[in-house]
Amino acid sequence: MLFLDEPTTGVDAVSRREFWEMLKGLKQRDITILVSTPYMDEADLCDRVALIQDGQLLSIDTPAGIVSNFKYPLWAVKSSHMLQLLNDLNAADFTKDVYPFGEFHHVVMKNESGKQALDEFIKQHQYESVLMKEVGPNIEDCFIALMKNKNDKR
Amino acid sequence: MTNDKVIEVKELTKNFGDFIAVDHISFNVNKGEIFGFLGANGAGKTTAMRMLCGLSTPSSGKATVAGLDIYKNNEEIKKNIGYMSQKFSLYDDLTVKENMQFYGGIYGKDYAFIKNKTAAILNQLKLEDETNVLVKSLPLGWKQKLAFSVAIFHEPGIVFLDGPTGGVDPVTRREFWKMIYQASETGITIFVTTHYMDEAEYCNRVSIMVDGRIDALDTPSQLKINYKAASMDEVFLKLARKAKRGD
Repeated sequence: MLFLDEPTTGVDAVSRREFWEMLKGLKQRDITILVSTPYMDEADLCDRVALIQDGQLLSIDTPAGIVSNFKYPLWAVKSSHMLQLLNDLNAADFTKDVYPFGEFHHVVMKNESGKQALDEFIKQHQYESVLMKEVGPNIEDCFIALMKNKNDKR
Repeated sequence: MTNDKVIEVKELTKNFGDFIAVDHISFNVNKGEIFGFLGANGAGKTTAMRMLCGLSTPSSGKATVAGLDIYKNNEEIKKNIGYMSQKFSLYDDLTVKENMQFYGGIYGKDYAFIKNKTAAILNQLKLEDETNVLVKSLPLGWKQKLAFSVAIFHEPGIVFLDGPTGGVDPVTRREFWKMIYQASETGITIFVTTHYMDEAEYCNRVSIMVDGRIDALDTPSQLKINYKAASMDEVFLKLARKAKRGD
C-alpha cells in the first residue's frame, strides 16, 4: 500500500503524465495507492475518488459515478469580453452558477428552460463573437458543484 | 512615457557555468496585459523571472521593465513591481494585518496609505474577523489571496506571479483568477506562470519555454490553430515533450 500526499503539486503537465504512468505500473503489480491531488484531470485517472472539504467527505464514487450525479444542464459560452460576460451571467436569474473553464465559461442552468433564457440573454447583451454549446460535465464541474453546495448550507 | 510596452526583452541569457538556463529569449509585454509564461519544470521560467525582477544579473542580452534597465536600475525596478512566489511571500508568524503593515513599510508607504489600504483589502477579502490571526493558521486559499493582495499593496505597474495557484482547489483557483482579471482591468500588467493549462486560456498571450528558449508565443486561440490542437494542454504537450533536459 502506498500513501501519496499531493505528489504532483507544482509539477508540469508532461511530468505529471509520466508520474501517473508510473502509478499505473505499480497498480498492475497489485499495489494499492491512496493519493491526494488538487488536479481534477488526475482524479479522472483513479478507480474511485473521494472529495473531502472542511473535514467531511462530500462524495465517494467512481469518476463516472460522480459525473452521472450532475443534475443540471451545462453550457459553455464565450465572447470577446470574458470578464463582462462572467459578471453578467452570474447576475442573471436563470443561472445556478457560472465560472471560467479554459477558453469558455461554464454556465450551470437552474433547469431545462434555461436554454431559452440564455438565448434571450445573449441577444439582449450584444456581445461580440459569441460561441455557445451544451456540454457534458466533467469531474471538475462536479466537484465545484459539490463544494459550493456545501458552502451554501452553512 | 508614450511607450505601452512595459516589459521589453532582447536576447536575454543566463548561464550557470556550462549550463544555459535561459537561452537568448526575446519578447515584449504590453501594459495591462495578462501574460502567461509557461514551461516544464526546469525550462528556465523562474531564472528568467528573477532577472526581470532585478534579483539576478543576466549573462548577456537586454531588458527593460517599467522602462527601467535591468542592469543599471535593478533596485528601482523592485519599487515598480510586485512579486508572488510559489511559496507565497507571507510571514507565517505575523498576523494578517502585520503582514500588510510590514510590506507597506518596506515599500516606503506612509501611515495613512497603509491604514487605508489595509482596511480596503480586509474588506475586499472578507478577512475582517481574521485581522489579528497569525497567517500560518489561515487556509491555503486565503493565504494565496492575501499574498496576491500584499504583492500589489504598493500599487505597482507590474506584478510577477510565479505559480500562484499551485496546490489550490478548483473553486479557489477561479476566485483567484477573478482577482487577476480585476487587477488587470485597473491597468496592472500581470506576468504569470502556471501548470494548470485551463489557466493558460485565461491569459491574453502565452509564451512556452522549452530548454531555456521560448519556442512559442501567441494568443491561446492562435497557438491552438498553429499546433492543430484542441486545447492548450495539447499545445503544451506537443512542445514540452521535445525537451531534452529534466529538472
